[in-house]
Amino acid sequence: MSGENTKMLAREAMLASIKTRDDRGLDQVSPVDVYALCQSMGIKVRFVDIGSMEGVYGRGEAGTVILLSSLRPLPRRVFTCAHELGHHTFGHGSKVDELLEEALGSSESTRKAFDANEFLAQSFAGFLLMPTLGVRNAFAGRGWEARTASPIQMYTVACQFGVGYETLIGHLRHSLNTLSAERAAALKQVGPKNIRAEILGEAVADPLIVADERWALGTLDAEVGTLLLLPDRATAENERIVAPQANLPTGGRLYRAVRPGVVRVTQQGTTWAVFVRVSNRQFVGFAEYRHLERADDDDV
Amino acid sequence: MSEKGKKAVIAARVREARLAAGLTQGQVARMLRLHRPSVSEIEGGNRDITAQELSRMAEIFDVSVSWLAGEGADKVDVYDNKLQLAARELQKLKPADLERLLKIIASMGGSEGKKI
Repeated sequence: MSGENTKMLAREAMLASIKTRDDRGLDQVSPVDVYALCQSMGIKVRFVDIGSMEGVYGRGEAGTVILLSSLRPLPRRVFTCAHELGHHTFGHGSKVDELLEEALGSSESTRKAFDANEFLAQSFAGFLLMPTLGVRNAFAGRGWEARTASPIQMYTVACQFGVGYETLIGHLRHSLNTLSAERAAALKQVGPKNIRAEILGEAVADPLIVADERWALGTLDAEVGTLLLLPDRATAENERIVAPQANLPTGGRLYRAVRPGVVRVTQQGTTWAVFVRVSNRQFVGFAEYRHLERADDDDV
Repeated sequence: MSEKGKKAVIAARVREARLAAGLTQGQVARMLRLHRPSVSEIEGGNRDITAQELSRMAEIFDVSVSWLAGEGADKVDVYDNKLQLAARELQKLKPADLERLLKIIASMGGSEGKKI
């Protein structure tokens, strides 16, 4: 694709993402719960434990579905869901036999059309999840600037929008033109693993979600095993999440998600509150069932 | 198919659909206002399922009633003109995973028996 064509497609994707939010009564600033958005549009989202795929969008006589691999990290599932929603928005889709043919790259023209569709869906996902004004506000509201943000600051903002660290960097670099190539490369060099180690004071393999006092969504999605860095004095109302240790020296209170279900977390002395929704690790099933409570003997 | 054989097919499909939906027997029992052992007995092929229960289960599991009742194709027809899919990097999908994907899609759909 030429540079001009890419710009045109990116603009089309941005406008479509704005319209999608607008049509559902969502503002153009806040993070979005992409699964709830799909549900409100009548699209079923289902997680399947298929490791060799990212996501599939399908529509037929009886409805529309997005299938996502449950074996990918949470932020990746969110982004892929938004990507598949892009295919829905642009009316993409091929018959199954044609799709298999496309995937094998049968002809140059088919391949090009396929790439353009993928680019559109990818750009749509970026703008839908990380709206321009929302990203700007997320940095400014914390007294930070995207172009000079530290890796931890970048990680915090990525968590805010439910996307991966490198996804935010890519969006800032390529779609919003806020980051220089050098700065983007330097940030990517650090990597989420090192950032987690810096925040927690030790290397940990478990995923970490940072939700600071400026967390802008009423919910926070985690799965069993996820670490949550919440503001100081954050207190959970039940034991879906537990605090394995006291406040961290760097500030904040570390929790770990341990059981599926929903827990309200508040911060003493402030109005800060969030519903943490915990699903089983690599949950397989419909998105709407992922946080359902389970009785103690509910193991099958 | 004998009554016994049919019951076994329904039992297997109820279990398959429940697990694919991400629900436990206890959760399904609560949704259907049944005792948990009833769901376990249905899945074990030891209890008849009423038409109303079958219909409600199809709704909860988002599968067609006919599929749940053991009818319909086990795998999607790749030449089905009404089914449209979009997927990236499909060439990376392993043949066994593609088979599974087409099976999942075949099971899905509204309670009228239409495929997605």
